[in-house]
Amino acid sequence: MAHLPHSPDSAAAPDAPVFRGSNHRFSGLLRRFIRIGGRRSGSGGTPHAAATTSAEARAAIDRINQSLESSFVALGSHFEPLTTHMQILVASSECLRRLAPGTSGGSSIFQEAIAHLQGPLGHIDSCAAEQPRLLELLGGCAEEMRRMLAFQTRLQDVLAPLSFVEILFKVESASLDLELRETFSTVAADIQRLRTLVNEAFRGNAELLASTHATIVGVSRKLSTDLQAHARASAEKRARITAALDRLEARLAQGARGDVDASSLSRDLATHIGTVVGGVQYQDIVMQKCSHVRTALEEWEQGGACDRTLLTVQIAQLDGALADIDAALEQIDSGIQKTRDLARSIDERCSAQDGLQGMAAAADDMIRLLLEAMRETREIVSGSTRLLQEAHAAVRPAGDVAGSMTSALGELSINMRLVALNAQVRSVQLSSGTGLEVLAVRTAEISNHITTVSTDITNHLDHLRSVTGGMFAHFESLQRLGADQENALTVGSGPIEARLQQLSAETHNGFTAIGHAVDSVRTVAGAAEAGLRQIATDREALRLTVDRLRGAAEVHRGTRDPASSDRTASHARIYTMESERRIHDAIAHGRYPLNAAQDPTAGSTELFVEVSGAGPRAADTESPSRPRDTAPRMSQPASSLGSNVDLF
Amino acid sequence: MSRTVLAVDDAMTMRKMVSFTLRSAGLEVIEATNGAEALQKLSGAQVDLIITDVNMPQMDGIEFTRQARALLRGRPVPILILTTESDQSKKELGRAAGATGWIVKPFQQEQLLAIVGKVLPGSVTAGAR
Repeated sequence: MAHLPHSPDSAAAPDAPVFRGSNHRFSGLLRRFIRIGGRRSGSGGTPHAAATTSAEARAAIDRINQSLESSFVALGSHFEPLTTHMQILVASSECLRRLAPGTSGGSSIFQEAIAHLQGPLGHIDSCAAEQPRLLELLGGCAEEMRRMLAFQTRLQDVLAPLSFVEILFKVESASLDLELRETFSTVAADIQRLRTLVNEAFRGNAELLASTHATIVGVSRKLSTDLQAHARASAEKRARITAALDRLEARLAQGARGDVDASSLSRDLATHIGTVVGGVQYQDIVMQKCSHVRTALEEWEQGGACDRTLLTVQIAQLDGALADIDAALEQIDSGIQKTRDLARSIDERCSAQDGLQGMAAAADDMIRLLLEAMRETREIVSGSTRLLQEAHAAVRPAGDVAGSMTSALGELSINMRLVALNAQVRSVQLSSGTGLEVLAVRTAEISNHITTVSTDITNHLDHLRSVTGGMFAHFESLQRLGADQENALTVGSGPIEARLQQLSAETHNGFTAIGHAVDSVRTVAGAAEAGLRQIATDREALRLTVDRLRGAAEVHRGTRDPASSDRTASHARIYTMESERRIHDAIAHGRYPLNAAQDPTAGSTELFVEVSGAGPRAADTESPSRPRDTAPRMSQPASSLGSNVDLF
Repeated sequence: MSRTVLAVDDAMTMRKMVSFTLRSAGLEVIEATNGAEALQKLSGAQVDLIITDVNMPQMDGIEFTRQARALLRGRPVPILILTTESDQSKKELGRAAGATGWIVKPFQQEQLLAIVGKVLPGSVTAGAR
C-alpha cells in the first residue's frame, strides 16, 4: 500500500486528502475502481456523539465485512473458470505448435505421407524411364511384323510356279492309265491344297500382322505420350511437395523464433493466477482486523469511558485494514491484468501470420497437397497400369501370329516334300520319256525353295516370338509392380489420409478453442474486475468510517481515562497479527507513528519478517519507499518454504 | 492415487482459496467451517492431510488439532495450521496439540504446495508448483 496510515495528529486535519502518499500509481489504480475525492465527514462533536459515531462505525464495519466477504467469495468463484480457460488457451496453443510440423502421435504425419508416396511416385518415374526400352521392344516387334509381311511376298513367288506344275501334271498324266492318272491327279490336288493352305494362312495372318503392326505403332505413340505426361505430373507433384515442405519449414523456423513454449506460458499463468489467489487472502486478514476493532468499539460503548488512545489504536488498525484492502486490490488487479495480457499475447501469437496462424496455414497447405498428391498419384499409377495392360493386350496377337504361322509353314514344308517325293517316285516307275519326270524334279526344286523360305520364316518367327516374349515379360513386370504400388497406396493411404484429415480438424479445433478461451478469459476477467470495483467501493466505505472515527477522536483530544487505558491494554490480547500488536504497542508507548521500517500498513507482511530466520526479501529492498507487498512473490524458489512457515 | 486434504477455516474465501490451490495440484479437498464440523468429517473420511485455521467459532484450531490427534489414534496424518496468528506462545500450543507445521497468512500458492509436498511426499502433481 502506498501511504502510511494517518497518525493520530493527522486526524486533526479533516480536510486532508486521503490519497496523499507518494505512490501515485496505486492512487491511479484505486481511482479506476471508485471516484476518489470525498472529504472526511463526521466530526463526532461531543462525547455522546462520539459514542454514536462508534456505534455507527460498528454497524458500518459489519456491513462492509459482509460485503467484502461476498465480493471476495464471488471473486474466488472466478479462479477456477479463469484458470481452466487459460489452461485451455495454453494447451491449445501448445497443441497447434505441436501440430504445425505435422506431428501427431509422436511422429510426423507429413513425413509418413511423403514416404508413403515415394514408392508410387518412384514407380511412375521408373515407368517413364522404361519407356525407351518399351518403345524399342515395340519397334522391334513392329519391324519383325513388317518383315513377316515381306516373307509372304517371297513365299508367294516361290509358290507361284506350282500353279503351272499342277496344270502340267494334269496334262502329262491325261494319257496314262486310270490308276496313274489318279496318282498324279492326287499330286496336283495336294499341290492345289497346299497353295490354298498357304494362301489362307498368310491371308489371315497377314491381316492380323498388318493390324497388329498398326496397333503396336499406336501403342508406342500412346505410351510415349502418356508415360511422359505421368512422369511430368510426378515431377510436378514432387516439386510442389518439396516447395510446400520448404514453406512449412520456413514458417516453423519463423514461428519458432518468436515462440514461447507451453511450460513457460504455464509458469506465467501460475504466477498470475497465484497473484490473484494470494490477494484474496486479505479478506480474512481485513475481516479479523475489523472484527477486533469492532469488539474494542463495542466494549468502549458499553464501558462508557474512553480516551483518545483507545480510538487512535482502532483508527490505526482500520488504516492497516485499508492498506490490506489496497494491497489486495493492487495484487488481484495486477494478476487479472497480467492474465488478461497473457491471454491476449497468446491470441495475438496464434493469429499472427509469422506465428501459429502462418505455421498452421503452411501445415494446412501441406495437408491439402498431400491428400491431393495421394489421390492423384493413385490415379496416375492406376492409369499407368491400365495403359500397360492395354498395350499388352494390343500386342498379344503378334505372338499368336507367330505361333500360327510357324505351324502352317511347318505343315506346308513337310507336305510339299511328300508331294515332291511322291511325284518323283511315280515318274521313275513310269520310266523316262514322259514330262512327268521333269515336273517331279521341278516340284522337288520348288519344295526345296519352300523349305528354305519356311526355315527363314520360322527363324524370323522364332525371333519375333523372342521379341514379343521379352516385351510381354516387361509389360507384365511393370503391370505387376504398378498393381503392387496401387494396392499399397490404396491400403496404406486410408490411415494416413485419416490422420491428415484429423490433423486438419485438430488444427481447426485448436484455433476455435483458442478463440473461445480468449473470449471466456475476457468475460471472466471482466466479471472479476466488476468484483474489484465492489471491493473498492467497500474500501471507500471503510475509509469514510475511519474518517468518522477520527472526528470522534478529536472530541477526546487530551482525554486519558485510566479504565479505558486498562481496557485498551486488555483488548490487545485478542490481537492475532503481529502488525496489530505493533501498532497497539507503538501507540500505547507514544512511539506512533511508526517509522518506515516499522510500517504497520505492511500489515501481514511483517508476519513474514517476525518469523525467526527471515531476512529482507528482494522485493523489499528494491524499493524501500514502496510498501512491501503483503503477499509473497511466486518467483521465490519452490524449495524454500518461506519465512512464515514453521515445521515442527 | 489422489490424496485427500481436510481444509478447515471459518472464512469462506480462505477455504475456497486453499481448495482451489490444492485441487489444482491434483488433491481432493474436503472443507469444514470449524473444528467441530471438521472432527465429524474426519471421522467419516480417509484424510491424508489436515490444514486448519486457529480462530474459528465453536471449536478453534488448537483444540481441533488436539482432538483430531486423538481421533487419528497415532495415524501419521500431518496437520498444518494456517492462520494470521503469529504469536510464539500460540505456536507452542499448536505444537503441543500435535500440529506438524505453522503457516502464517498470507501465503503464496506455490509455497503452500511446497509445504504440502514436503509433509505429504508425492501428493502434489508434478508441474503444479
